[in-house]
Amino acid sequence: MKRLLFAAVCGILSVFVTTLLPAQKFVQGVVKEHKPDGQQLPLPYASVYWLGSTEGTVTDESGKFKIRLPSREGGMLVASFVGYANDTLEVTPGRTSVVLLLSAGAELGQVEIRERQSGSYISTLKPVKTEVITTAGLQKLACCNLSESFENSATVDVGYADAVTGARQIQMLGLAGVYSQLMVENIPFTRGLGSAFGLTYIPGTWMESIQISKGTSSVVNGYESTTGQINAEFRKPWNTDKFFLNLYGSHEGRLEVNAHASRVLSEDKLSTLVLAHASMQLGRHDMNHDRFLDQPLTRQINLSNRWSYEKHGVTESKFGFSVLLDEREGGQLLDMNSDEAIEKGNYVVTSTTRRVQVYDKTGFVFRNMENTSLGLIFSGLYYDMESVFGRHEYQARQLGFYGNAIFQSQIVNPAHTYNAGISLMYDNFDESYRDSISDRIESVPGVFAQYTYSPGETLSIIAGARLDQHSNYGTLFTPRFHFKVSIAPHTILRGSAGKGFRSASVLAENTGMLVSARQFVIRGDFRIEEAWNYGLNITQTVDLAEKREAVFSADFYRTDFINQIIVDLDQAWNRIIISNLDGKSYSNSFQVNADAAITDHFSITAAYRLNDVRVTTAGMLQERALVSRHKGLLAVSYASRFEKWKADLTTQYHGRSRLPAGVPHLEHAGYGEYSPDFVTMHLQLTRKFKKWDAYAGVENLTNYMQHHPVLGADNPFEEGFDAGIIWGPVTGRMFYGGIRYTVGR
Amino acid sequence: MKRISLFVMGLIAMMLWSVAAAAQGPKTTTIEIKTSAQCSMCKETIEKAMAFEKGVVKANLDVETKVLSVTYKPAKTSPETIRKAVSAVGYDADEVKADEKAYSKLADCCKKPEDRQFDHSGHNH
Repeated sequence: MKRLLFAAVCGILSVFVTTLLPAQKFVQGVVKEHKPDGQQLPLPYASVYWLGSTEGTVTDESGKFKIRLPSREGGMLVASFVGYANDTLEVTPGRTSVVLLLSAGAELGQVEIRERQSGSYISTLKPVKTEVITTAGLQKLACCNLSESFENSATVDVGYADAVTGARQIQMLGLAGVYSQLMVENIPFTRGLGSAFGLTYIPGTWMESIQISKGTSSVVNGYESTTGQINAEFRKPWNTDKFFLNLYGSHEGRLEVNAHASRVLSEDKLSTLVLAHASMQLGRHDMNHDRFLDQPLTRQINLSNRWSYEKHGVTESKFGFSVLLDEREGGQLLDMNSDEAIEKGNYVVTSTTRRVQVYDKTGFVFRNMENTSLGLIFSGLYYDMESVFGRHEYQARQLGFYGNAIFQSQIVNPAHTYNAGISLMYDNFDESYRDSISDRIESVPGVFAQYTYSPGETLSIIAGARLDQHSNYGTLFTPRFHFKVSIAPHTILRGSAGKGFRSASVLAENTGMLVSARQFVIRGDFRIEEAWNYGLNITQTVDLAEKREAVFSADFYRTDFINQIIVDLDQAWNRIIISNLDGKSYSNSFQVNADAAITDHFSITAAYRLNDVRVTTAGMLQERALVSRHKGLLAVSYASRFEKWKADLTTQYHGRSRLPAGVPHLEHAGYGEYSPDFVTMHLQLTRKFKKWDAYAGVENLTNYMQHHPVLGADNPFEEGFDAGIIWGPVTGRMFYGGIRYTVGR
Repeated sequence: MKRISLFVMGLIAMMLWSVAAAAQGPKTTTIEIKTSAQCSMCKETIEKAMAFEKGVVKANLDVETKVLSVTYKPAKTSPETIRKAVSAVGYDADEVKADEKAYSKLADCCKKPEDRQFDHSGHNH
């Protein structure tokens, strides 16, 4: 299977490479915006055309464009954008790359964001390789929330954490999602106790795009992000639709409503956006007949109000708040409510979560100093979860504050820039499980500095370091280094190396342990988790036609843990042993990716990923349990002209993963050392109308489900019960449909 | 299994319906509308608006002559409605003037030459 898959991927790659079209006479370049503060930023959606001709194009999301030469003599190329003074440049034959600069005119017009055709792309400008999932990509699978948005990406794996609570867990580089940093608009979103369900707290329609980068990220955002960073950008108050409504329903009884409304209160100055989400899981299903609900009954209400204030060229501020209430009930609840079930002595999991976050991001521009600005970020978080797992109560409360002040300026000229600043993270954790109570306060003041050398578009080097004083773990020194070099016009090589730290919240991060009769054994005082991460990647863009291209990329990342909190399921089948790492723990992750727009209507994504993740458990260096070694992805998209009709089919191959050793119930069920491998499929059709869209689709088309996700389901209060050993889908085939209604600006 | 067959049947019904709808083809008329389109970007905008307009079967804009030919079903729409739809995205359509708000939002290259912000001498800025 492994060899077959590899051969298939190689075959696909070679077909693409051999069908490259001969180079045509094109000019390509970037349109940049000349900010009043002297900064030059790429300008997306600007129009570019030849003077006196009808040939024109529009820049893409990174401000880049490509246009056919009008004649052998060249011509005058014009770039324009509403509210900006035009730039005209004479393009002589032989010139293939240009930069056009636009300055904001007296009045700033409205910016209309065009619908993007591409569902995802790899940024060619950022020094750190960044995969971007766009609005179009998010709509491809009508995903309910962030945890379901990675279906078309081989970089992030999403799976259920256990078979009862519905908590989703992600993996990057074969390591748990907690080792990557989850941010919303560059403010940390889930830290500490909220990490188990955090991904389900970001509704899919709220997001404008998601940026995913592997490896350590900039020191500016903290010492976390060992394996990568996921940043979700929400819709913007100043440019999103006036009104948006999404109704979604599935045959399994999931209902969802999302509504957004935005208003510009004062042109180019003050605008606001309200995002609302309500969802319910009403249907009770037990497809595997173990008397446990396949997914819990849930109710969620989620509200956010976001504001933007701008005084052009002086200051910019984004602030707002969000409120969430989430209730869920799972377990042996097939034909009764939870009170009845508890009375009858059934195994029931209930939880009520409340979360409130306030934030402010303000930037000041120093007008008398070139390229100089100050950014201030504040965020306050209240998180409270009350839950019952079988006969045990678990309560978690967190009060958190995050502050970051970043000063940015240049040294002599714009080729040398630096960031420097101070930060403070303060968290008050309050947890109780059964009869043990753990209260802890973590307070981490820190300083950081980062230098960027970027003489042109072909080379960037970033070197940064930070020093943090952790109240529990002492001084933490975090050096990080990134580079990007264009080794050929369409070939970019990038690399990174750096350290990452993390303070673990063991119970909150491993809900699978709570739905298990295994006995907890905690050994020793936990130290902070500490790891090195190194990575190298290469991205090759190939032009297929005027507006179509193919992108190939390959990357390799290694993570080496110095310390890790190990949750050992291998030592004894009826125990969980939690301790500091004693031995080795590492991950090697290799991935190849091909994205190609085959015709104007068809595009295809193919990817293969190999994870070699090993850790010392039960005194032996072995494959990390429940991490699949191989993964393949093939996504085919069709869009008719103007995207009136769209169809998306995604197929994923998941290789086998090692099962925890010596579990009698697994052996009785006929499992060996490994889980089986399996294929999942997802299909969606979308029809666009003038003001609204209709969509319908099927999740888990092949209806593949893990057998026996709840071990010992007959005696949930006896030794042997374990609903935390999950390697495959716990829910079956699901049909869904919905509509989106939009009132544009 | 029952669910799948229902789903498949639904799909087939949808396909048959669309084939049947396409077979009713001949009941269409074509009109030509003179527009204020300037470039290939305008062509894209107008043709896209037509694609989502009720009753319109086909639309093509010739950038050189600025003439938009639209094939439509008279039972479902009228030339006036179509001209209004062109106006709504910011372009003149025969005697119907472009909607002002939509016109003001057009990219510079799509505006009429007299309204463009840059001078035609070709100097920078």
